Amino acid sequence: MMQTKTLSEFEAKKLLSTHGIPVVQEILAKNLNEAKTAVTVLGFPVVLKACSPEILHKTEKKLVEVNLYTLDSVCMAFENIQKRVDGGLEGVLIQRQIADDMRECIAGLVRDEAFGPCVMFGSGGIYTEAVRDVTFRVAPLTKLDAFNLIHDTQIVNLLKGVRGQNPVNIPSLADILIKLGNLGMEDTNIFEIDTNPIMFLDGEPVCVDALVVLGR
Amino acid sequence: MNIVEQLKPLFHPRTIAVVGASGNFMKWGCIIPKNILNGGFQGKLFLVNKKEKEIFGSPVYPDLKSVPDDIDLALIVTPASVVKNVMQECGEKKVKAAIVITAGFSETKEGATLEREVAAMAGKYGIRFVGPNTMGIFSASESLCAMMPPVPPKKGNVSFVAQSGNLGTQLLSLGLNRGVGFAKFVSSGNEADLRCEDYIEYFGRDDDTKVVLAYIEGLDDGRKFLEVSRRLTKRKPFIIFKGGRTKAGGKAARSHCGALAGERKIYEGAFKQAGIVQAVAGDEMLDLAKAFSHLPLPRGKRVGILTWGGGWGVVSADACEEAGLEVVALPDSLIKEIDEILPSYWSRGNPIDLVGTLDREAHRKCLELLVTCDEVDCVLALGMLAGPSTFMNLLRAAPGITPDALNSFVDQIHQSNRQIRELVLALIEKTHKPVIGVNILPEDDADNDAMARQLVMFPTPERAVHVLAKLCEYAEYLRDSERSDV
Repeated sequence: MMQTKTLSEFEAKKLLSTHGIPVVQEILAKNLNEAKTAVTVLGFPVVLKACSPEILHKTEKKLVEVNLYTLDSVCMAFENIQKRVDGGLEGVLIQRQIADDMRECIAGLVRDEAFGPCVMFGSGGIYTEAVRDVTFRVAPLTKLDAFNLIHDTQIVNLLKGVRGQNPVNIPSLADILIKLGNLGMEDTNIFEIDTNPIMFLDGEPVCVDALVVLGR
Repeated sequence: MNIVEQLKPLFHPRTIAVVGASGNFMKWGCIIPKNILNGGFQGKLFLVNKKEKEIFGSPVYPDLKSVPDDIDLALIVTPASVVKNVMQECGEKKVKAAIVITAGFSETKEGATLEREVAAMAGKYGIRFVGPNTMGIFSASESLCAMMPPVPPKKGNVSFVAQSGNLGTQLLSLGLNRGVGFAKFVSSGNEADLRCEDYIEYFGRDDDTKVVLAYIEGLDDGRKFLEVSRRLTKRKPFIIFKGGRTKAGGKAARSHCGALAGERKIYEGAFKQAGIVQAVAGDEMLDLAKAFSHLPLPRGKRVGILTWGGGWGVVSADACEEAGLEVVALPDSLIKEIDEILPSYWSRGNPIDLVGTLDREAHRKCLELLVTCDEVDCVLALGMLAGPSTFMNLLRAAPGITPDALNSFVDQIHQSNRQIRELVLALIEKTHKPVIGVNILPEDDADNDAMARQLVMFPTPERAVHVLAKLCEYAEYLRDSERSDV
């Protein structure tokens, strides 16, 4: 049996960020004052999320509050989240909210028995496992591999821009996939990575949530 | 010694010794040497067995030592418990390669230790070996049929490694009916020494091999396998059929990624990355082997369809679009040229519908125009490459036809069949474009001549389109890799 350790959302995103993967702007607030300060830095609207390595599937547990446009609503959300968590709370993540343009992707890394580190890409969001529009490639990824990985899915059709939407920056997305692969190759302590969802801000991909599982 | 030198005594042995030879028809020790002899092996075969003096009139030697010649390849069919000793004898006799047919090794826990010991013994003497638990090998250039099945495969330029003996040998015999010929075959067995990637690397460098096939169930070192495959696919097409249950990624996956990482999806992605053509059935593998070994690769995805009957044209066009191929619009100049040849009610577009005309010369002219058209990269010829043997049978039964008239008519049919086949082969040669045919009737190959067997034909449009799509996919992979290598 392998021993694993899961990083908190905040730590996970810090890890990705240090490796050049774009993550959403966010601040970890340990108390209400820090939350208020965070909001002055980030601006509105914001999202609040309970942050702790113990909590997965925050949406179902009502530990995420979105569409917060005022300081009052932020304070109320902060207190609600604190109340709903039983303890082990690292803090509350205050995140800049990215407009939801209905295009959510998932990217990740697994260690396969036969092939070693493999990068996954596809249709993300809460329905990821239900929709199952994902493909894999073996790390390290070349630019061509990353391009093919993206185009080997259904969601790529949305990314090219349909129904009046602008296309997203696919090379930037490819770059994230290449970096995930490299991370898996360099750091053998990393067992699994999920970045879900990846959303798009002015066409540029941003990792809004991340999960990193350590272990060998 | 590189892999080509190491495997030379395996696939090109001058002398073979069967250790554990037997006179009992039910034993492998009898079946295999008989097949080697029946297959017309060009080299010398020696039988070894402590307990026998003579088998079917041939002398049997009590051990390898007493064989009066150097032995390139040893075929071991003794019980598992003595294989290690036999391997030692091989080492002392300076045998260069071995095939361990015997089963009962790492398929069980106790056997696994025995297997490691055999491998260690072989390693000590530098003997490379196939198996254990293998159904044998085939090598066309030596007419070496060291396998269980009694019928030798057709000879050709496809080399095949199978991780399942019975699936592998079955495909070899299916290949006989499909016109797929093999250069080399190996049932890799437990892969205690030589692994599938070793054979694949060898086939890549073997001049007799033009297309490589593999049936894979599991890979110990997937990364090495991919590395070898990538080098191979730059030069030769590599077709894989992957078997084995789809292992659910589930377990106690904490991440979506872990939960979605099924074995099948990862293999699919890996194969695409390495330019490997993936088949999802043995049949399909043979179809692909035939096409890849007989046809040039298309320079693009623009398909020209020439069809004797309208319905097939529709079905093929649908299948092409679904497969991501382009049913290209015909240039006006081509349409005008065909207007001069076909009745005015032809389709005036792609697919070119011959509207059931029996004028074989019109078929030939349209085919030539389509294949040589610059806007067309590949052609599907539906229902005109094989002669209508059924008509001939009907005519034979018709009253009032004199034998002379009938014979002359039959001759005409054969003649025009030959003409159109010659034309297809000449056009492929001249334009370097693939042309795939679909027969009117599945078994309609009344002539069954050598020329017909050189053509790539399938019984249904769907199969033809599927194969064409894979040719295009591989061609595109080669173009993409060349571009990104720069």
